[in-house]
Amino acid sequence: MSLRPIVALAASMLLAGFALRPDVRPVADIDPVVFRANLERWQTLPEPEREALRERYARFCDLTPGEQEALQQRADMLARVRGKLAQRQGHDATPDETAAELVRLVERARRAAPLPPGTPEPTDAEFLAQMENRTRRSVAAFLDRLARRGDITPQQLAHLRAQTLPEQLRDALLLLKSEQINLCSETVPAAEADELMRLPPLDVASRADRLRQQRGFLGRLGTAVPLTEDDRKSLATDDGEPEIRERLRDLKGPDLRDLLSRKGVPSEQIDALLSGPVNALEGDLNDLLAHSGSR
Amino acid sequence: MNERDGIRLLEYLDRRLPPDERAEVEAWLKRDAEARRLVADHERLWALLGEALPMPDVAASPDFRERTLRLAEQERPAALLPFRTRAVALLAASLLVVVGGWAWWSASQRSGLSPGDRAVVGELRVLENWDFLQAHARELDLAVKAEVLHHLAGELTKEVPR
Repeated sequence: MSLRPIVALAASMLLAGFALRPDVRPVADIDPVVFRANLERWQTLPEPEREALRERYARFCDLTPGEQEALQQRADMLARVRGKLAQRQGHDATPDETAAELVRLVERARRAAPLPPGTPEPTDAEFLAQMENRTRRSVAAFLDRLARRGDITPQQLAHLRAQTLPEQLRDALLLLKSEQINLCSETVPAAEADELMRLPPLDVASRADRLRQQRGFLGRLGTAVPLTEDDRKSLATDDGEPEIRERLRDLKGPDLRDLLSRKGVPSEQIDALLSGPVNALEGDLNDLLAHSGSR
Repeated sequence: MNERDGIRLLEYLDRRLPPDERAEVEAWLKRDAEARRLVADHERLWALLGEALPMPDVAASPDFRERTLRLAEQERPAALLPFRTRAVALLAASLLVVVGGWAWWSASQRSGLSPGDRAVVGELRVLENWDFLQAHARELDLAVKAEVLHHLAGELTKEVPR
């Protein structure tokens, strides 16, 4: 027997040991990359600061799971805002700069919120309640759509509905990530799809939107209704509002209607599809193409 | 004749007695007719047995021991690996256990994280920004919702824009 397999086994076990780094084994549900970055930071902290963090952690543990999740989402958003600011400014953002950027983001969200003509500008409290309400409805509609398609079971839907909003957001975003990667998998190379797996859900959704801007609808629908050069120029000149799928639907409406007619979809159903929720359009039409292609 | 005399006669027939005792038994046989008859009966019986079941020739050949050992060696279950390879494999396995154990121990010594601190490190991003997160909870919550709505508002039928 050759010694090579033994040596190879020994080397691979050692490599695996160092790669797994038992000393940096993360706690459950924490991204290992985030945990390692946290650990490196922790090791630079003096003992009094560590003690203060331990006290804060005790307070964190006293919160309900929903409150903990909300804090984590705020911390994730803070990291995203700081990251974008650092990229834009070329240096790490100060707390004042970060606070100013947050005010700007809120103002932009206020401007983007739908407001029927003649309706007075909502107060801060009204705007807050409106955002909460729209988020709840959007998440509920998304989960209902997944349940209708059979992507989640009725039991899972009931469990998700019973959660607090921050917990629902966490799980809905994970489901959104999964759906977007699934749609991207027919469009992007395998390596890029692997990279998407490692990104946070909102980054995956943004990446999928950029892909739509470059290539049109994702999945089979993108192949059936491709973008022309003029379409691309038209999409590139827009400022990001409204959302890309809506712009694509408006831009390719006649082509979509023609495609659906050729597939034998009744005109009333075509009208309902094209005037219904835009997020459902891409998924429904991809399903339709998959079924008609497999027949 | 008692039992002890009978045993002595059998030992005599079997040629197991020392010469002096043997001489004594021969003298006794000359005197005692019953003893002579018993010895004669036994000799006749053994002669008959010898004819019916002749003693096989079992004289061992000169290399008997060597061949027997060789056969025994062949009968033993064969080892999966040669001795040298087994020794090296054992050494390698021991080395692996020692190095792996050392790496594990030294790594845990380096980080020195207790289970409690491990949990704190897991939430460091929240804990280090605790005050900022509390002070700007409203703006951050709205930013989270705005971003979620950017991707999920399309789940609803379009609302009237401003």
